[in-house]
Amino acid sequence: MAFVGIQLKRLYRLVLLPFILTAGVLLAGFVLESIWSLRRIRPVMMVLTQVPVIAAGLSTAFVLNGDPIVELAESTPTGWRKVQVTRLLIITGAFLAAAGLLFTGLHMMRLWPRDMGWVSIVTPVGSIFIVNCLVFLIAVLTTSMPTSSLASIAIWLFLCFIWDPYITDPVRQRLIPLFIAAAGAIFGWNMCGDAERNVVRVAAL
Amino acid sequence: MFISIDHLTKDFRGRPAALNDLTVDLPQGMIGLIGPNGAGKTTLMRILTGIIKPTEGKVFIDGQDLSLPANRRNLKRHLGYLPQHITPYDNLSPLGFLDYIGILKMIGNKRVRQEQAHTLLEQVGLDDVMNQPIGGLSGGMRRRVGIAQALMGDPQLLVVDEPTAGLDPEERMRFRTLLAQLGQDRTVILSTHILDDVAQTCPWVCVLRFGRNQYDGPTEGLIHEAAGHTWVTPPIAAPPDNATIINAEPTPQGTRYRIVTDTPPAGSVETAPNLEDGYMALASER
Repeated sequence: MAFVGIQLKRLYRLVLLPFILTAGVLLAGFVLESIWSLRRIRPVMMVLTQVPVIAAGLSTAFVLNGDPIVELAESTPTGWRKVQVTRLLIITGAFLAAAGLLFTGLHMMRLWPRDMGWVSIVTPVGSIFIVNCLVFLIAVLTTSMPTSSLASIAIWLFLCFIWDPYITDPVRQRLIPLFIAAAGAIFGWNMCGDAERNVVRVAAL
Repeated sequence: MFISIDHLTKDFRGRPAALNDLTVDLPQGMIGLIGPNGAGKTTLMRILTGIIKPTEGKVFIDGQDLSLPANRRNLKRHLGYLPQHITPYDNLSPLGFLDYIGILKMIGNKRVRQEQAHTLLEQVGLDDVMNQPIGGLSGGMRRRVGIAQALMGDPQLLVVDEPTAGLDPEERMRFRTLLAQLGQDRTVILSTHILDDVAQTCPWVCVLRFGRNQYDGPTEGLIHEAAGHTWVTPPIAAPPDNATIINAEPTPQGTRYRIVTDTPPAGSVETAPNLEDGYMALASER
């Protein structure tokens, strides 16, 4: 618990970010609802609801790169993989919880774009899970913040413009990329357990 | 802790072997690990700390075989490591950073961690700045934070890689004294290019070259390698041939060289060797 607590303490600003974004989007929805029609608000919401997904990817890229004490961590019983995975879980957990709140709020206000009922919650939650799992893989492979950040935007662009508009069934829409992302995360998890690789890659930076 | 290294080889893809059939026994106390760049010192230390695995061969620490994951995990609980390049988190205070490292070392009790951190920061002379952000500390103070973190958990094996590189002379002396104190009741492996640090603190030394053991034994023994071969030349115009030059002192009449050779120039005076002479004599033997 102390280990999770200290990681939480290190990341608390980024952990708060999704909730601040959620509050902002909900507030925007609440304000717009009283002055605009639903037809006018929904396109705006379509844009705003993508902001947490982009923020999740960029935040994950940030927390998983640029730590200077890899070698030190690997010389302790804790190890670098545990550090990275704990950080990934914390940041993903925060964004998932906030995405749930965002969906609930907008769904109740009938402002969620393409709302198909509660099942539509898989869209924001799934997006964040997919983006973060794949960013984790990229971060492990490249140990580069710029590359991981670019990758997070590329994954979001793919989901937003290439995948989601054509696969409209919410379960299929998320299930297939979820499997791919989970497989990527498992691959990253395995790779991240190689202390020698971690140390050599960081020493090479 | 007694360390036994048995036919250790470490290959990295596309590069010459970092360690090449290295066999050496290291006793308890302060041990100097010296050798030129690329000799395999850092690789050896990473293997001793359980970070990387050898390609071949074994390491035994107090008889425990490090090739077994359980033994490696157990070692890491009783290990202090100061890597060559450590950048503690700038936004944390020394106290906060040591607490973080205590957690990584699985010291579960917060009170124990805090007590240890306070004691260690006093020991390394950082008690005045223990609550200030590390980002605002000098290079020497950061190195001291590094050694303090290595000592969290009261490790019986302390491995330090180039701890005094880049420190000013005053900090270096302070650091050296601290390491010597620590070596009284634990095994300290000190890797450095600064031979004076080894001469002053380490009764035992191991010299690596091209991943092989070139010498291991008492420091006095390495110094003795140059006995009868260390000379100071009279002031001369050009450096002498067939000699390893240890240093050169300019004088109005020419340059006076300290050399290690079997054939000194005429007028040279034999002098008592030091560790630098011994090391260079050993290097010229290869």
